[in-house]
Formats: sequence, C-alpha cells, structure tokens
Amino acid sequence: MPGHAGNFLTRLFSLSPETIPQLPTNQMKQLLTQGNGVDEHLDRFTLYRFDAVLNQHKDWQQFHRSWPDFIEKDLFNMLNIDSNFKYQSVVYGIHPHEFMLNQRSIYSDTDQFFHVELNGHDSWVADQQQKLKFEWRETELEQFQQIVTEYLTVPINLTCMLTGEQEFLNEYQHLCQSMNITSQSELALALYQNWRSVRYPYQ
Amino acid sequence: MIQTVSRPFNDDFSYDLFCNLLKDCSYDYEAYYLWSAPPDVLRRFFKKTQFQAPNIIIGIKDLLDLWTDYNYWHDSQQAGVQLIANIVRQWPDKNFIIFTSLENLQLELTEPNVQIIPWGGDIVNQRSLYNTLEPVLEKNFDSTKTFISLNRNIRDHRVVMLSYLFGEGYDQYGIITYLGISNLNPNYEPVAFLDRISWEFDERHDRIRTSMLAGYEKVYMNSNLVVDNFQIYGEKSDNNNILNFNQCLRSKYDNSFVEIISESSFIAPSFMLTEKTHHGFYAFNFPILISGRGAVAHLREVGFDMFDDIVDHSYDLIDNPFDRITTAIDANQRLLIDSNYAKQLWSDNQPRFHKNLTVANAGMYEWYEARTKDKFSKIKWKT
Repeated sequence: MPGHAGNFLTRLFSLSPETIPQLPTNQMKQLLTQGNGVDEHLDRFTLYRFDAVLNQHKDWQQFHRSWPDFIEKDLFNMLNIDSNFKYQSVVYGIHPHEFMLNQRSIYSDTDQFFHVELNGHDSWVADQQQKLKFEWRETELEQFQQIVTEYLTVPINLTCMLTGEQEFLNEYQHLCQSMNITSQSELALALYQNWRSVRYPYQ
Repeated sequence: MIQTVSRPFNDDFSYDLFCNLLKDCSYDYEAYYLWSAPPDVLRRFFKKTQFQAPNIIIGIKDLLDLWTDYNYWHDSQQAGVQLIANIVRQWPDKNFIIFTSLENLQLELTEPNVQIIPWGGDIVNQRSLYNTLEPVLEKNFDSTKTFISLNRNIRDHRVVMLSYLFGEGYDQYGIITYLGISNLNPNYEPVAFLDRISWEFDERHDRIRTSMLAGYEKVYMNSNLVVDNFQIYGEKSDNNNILNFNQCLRSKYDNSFVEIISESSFIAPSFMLTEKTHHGFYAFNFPILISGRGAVAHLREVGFDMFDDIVDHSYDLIDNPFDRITTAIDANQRLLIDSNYAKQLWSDNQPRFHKNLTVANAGMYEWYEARTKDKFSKIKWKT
C-alpha cells in the first residue's frame, strides 16, 4: 500500500548481486546509451542510501519519481541484455492500483509476489503518503486484498522489521531465501539504519 | 534455463508451450524468450548477446517489422528479419532455432544455420478469456449496412484499402472506422496519397489509381466515417481484446454481416494473424481477409471454414499488393453491397458459423500446438 516503505524494500532486496541494480532513470538511460551494462563494482549501498536524498532532490516525491518502476521495465530488460544476462531477477515496488492496471503483463508463472504487512504505525504511514504525495484511492485497500488472495502473495512482515534490528535481519534473511537471492546482511542492516535515521527515527 | 527478456500482454499460450517443449530437451542449448516490441529491446538483444551454447533457441513474440515499412518493390526482408539474418551470419558455428509469430518466415529468413518454428501469431493470445467471449448470435436485420471494416492504426495497406473503398463508393454500404492522424497529432497537416504511400502503381493500374486518389480525398472529407478512438482499451493500456470486443466492437458487429478484416501485416512475405481475425469468428461475419499472401489458405489449414462457396478468396494468392486488395473487394462486390443477399446467406449458414466458433475456442490452439511440437521434434540439433 502507498506509504508502506516500498522505496526502501525495493532497494533492500536489490542489494543482492543476482538482482538488477535500482538506478535513477537518467543514470539508467545514460548506461544504456553507453551500452556497456552495469559496472561490476557498482556500490549499491551508496547508491541506495537515503540520507543524501534531499541534497539531490527538492522533495521526497521528486526522489520517488526519478527512479524507474514497473512501467519502465524495458529499461531494466535492456540493461540486463547489456550486462549479458548477469542478473536473474529484478525487484519492483508496485501499488495495488498500478498492479490492477497492469495485470495483463504480470505473470504468475514467472513472477514472484510479495506483499507488505504493516499493523499500527498509522500516523507514520500517513506522513509517508503526504511526503511522497501519493493520491488517496478509495478502492486501493480492496484491490490490495484481492491481489493477496488471487496471487497467493508472500507476506513481508514490516511490522516485525520495524521492531528492532535483529527482527529486521531475521525477516530479511528469511525473505531472501524465499526470493532465491543471496542475503547481504551487513549492507542490509546498514541500509536499514540509514533509512530509519532519515525516514523513521527511533522514538 | 530460459532467459525471459520480455513478454507481451495476454501471453498465456506461447510461453507455456515454449517452456513445456524445452523442459525435456536434453541437448546443449541456451534459450531466450522476448517480445519484439518495442524494437529497441529486440535490436539490443541481437546486437549485444554473447551466445555460448551450440544451440541457440529464441522465441520471439509479435511482428518483426521493427515498426518500419516494408517495400514490396525493393525489399526482400523486413527490418527485424534483416537484423536476425545479420546476427546469425556472425555466429556461423551456432545452430539457431527461432520460434516466431509469423507465418512463412522461411520466405525471408534463409540462413543455413537457422531453423524456424512458427507457433501462431497474436491470434493465440488471451486464450483463457476467449472461451468466455459470447459470440454475436443475433444481428440487426434492419441494419442499412452490410459490412464492417475496422482500421484503427494507420498502416499503408489500410490507407490504400480505405481509399479504394471510398473511391469505388463502397463506403455507403459499410461501417468503416479509421484512426485519423489528427487524433494523434493535432498539428498534423494532410499529406497527399502519393506522398504518403510508397507503393508503385504500374500501367495496369490507371483505373484503380484514379479511384484511390479520389477515395483518399473522400476519406479526409467524409463526415460519416467513424474516426476511431486511439484509447480503445480505456484507462488500461493492457490490450484487453475481450474488453474491446464487448465495449467497442460488439455494437458494430451486431449491424454487419461481412467483415473486411484489415490485419496488422499485409505486404511482406511473412505475416502474422492477430485478434482482428480471431474476432471475426466470434462476430459471425463472412470474412474477407486483408492480410499476408496465403493467409486464407493458412486459416483453412488450421480448420476454419472460410466460406469458399460464398466469399471469393481468389485474391489470397495474388502477390501484387494493389491487386490483392482490389480483387478482395471487387470479387466480393455483391456480398458487400447487396444487403438482402448477405443477410439471407448469413441466415442460411448458421451451423457453419457455430462450427468456426468451436475452432476459434479450442481447435485452433490444438492445431498450433500440434504443429509447433511437430516442427520441434524435427529440429536438427548440434552436438
């Protein structure tokens, strides 16, 4: 659902070397023009960290919009071609509304589906929605539930992840196994700490 | 392992077929599955991929025109076929097996290290929902129109056909839709027929040339022409053809008895059949097919009754594009303009429409699957 840390989670699971790195759209297009694929020494953590975002973007919405998403999946496809199919997966964050709109190009035989479970934290979610200027859609919760049921999606327990670092790591490692990607615990924890410090400071 | 580069919308037949065929393949191969749209992905794939295994299996959904025009008078290969040919020549030691949505690709792609497996065009897409599509069982016998001709996207053969229909006065007998260029670009200024179409008339074509030029003027002047909406899929840009059939097309089909089906591909030697043809069988209309040479013969082979005793399909094997279009129309003049004649034939031939529906729902898929498996079983592998 909007405001449920999709940007963070997309980057978190894209720390794994089997996944196509998340890159800002302009950087991705630049790489495609050069045609050499992704630099194998790309520092994903530095690229994903959240503390420098507001130095580079005027607000969180601009940050959100400047990274490609599911709709621009051809950019990811072409980048993987340029990288000689080095990557086996790509992680997309997608809201229920967009999911429903794009259902005919989403495939349950090749795609894996995960949904974010979050209980409580309502005021934080509202704050995130406001920061990212997400549009409120009345039917979106219903769509979310429909997708969870129809696609038998696997839960990402964000409630647990927000409890503390050890809980976060346990859930992260468990999910990496489900996704069949290598966990990067040290980097994941560093990204979590970085994200929390900027977007959800410990009370 | 199959490297799935991209998949089109509604791809619920070809991908399964591809995976099932390869899962028991014991030869040393690498396999790729991709959609030819947008062309950048296909171009990049062929130019950049470093092939390793002795056998390279590539499944390509959709057309191979790379969104460029094929010139019948000067070209021998579509742009995408040319691309494939150039690349496979650079890998002479590899054995390429190309699965394609095109029929007759072997007429354009003749490299010795390529074997071709046609797996059915976009006509096979969205299989799971076509079974639920209600056919047009009843028609409006008060309709003043006899035929329907849907020409949403602007392609040369559609411009030529529309110009001829209008030039010869067929327009008053049919429901004709056309996506005006001005819908796409409000600043568009009309281009003269001869500047727009790169087709070459010869001395036999004086009459049709005059007719088409006049008809082309009428296309732009005619206020009765239904200018189609580009956004036929509504807010969703997901090519939901069932939705389009029910929301936009059904009312048009209700009022027509014959359909001039303007397929996406027409002029190149290899062609692809799409939902446009598939819809015709649910619309219960007599089909006149503006498609690649031999498309009607192909559909007969698949198992469809093409109403050969009612529709004159002699155009089907005509090579020259002008002649194929004008013969398709002229040879079926009575069917197109004599409303009572078409309506009576429609009533008299109900069982045949129903039989075609069975083929469209199931038999067609079985036929394409069987042919694909048969071709795959005959592949010569490199060890």
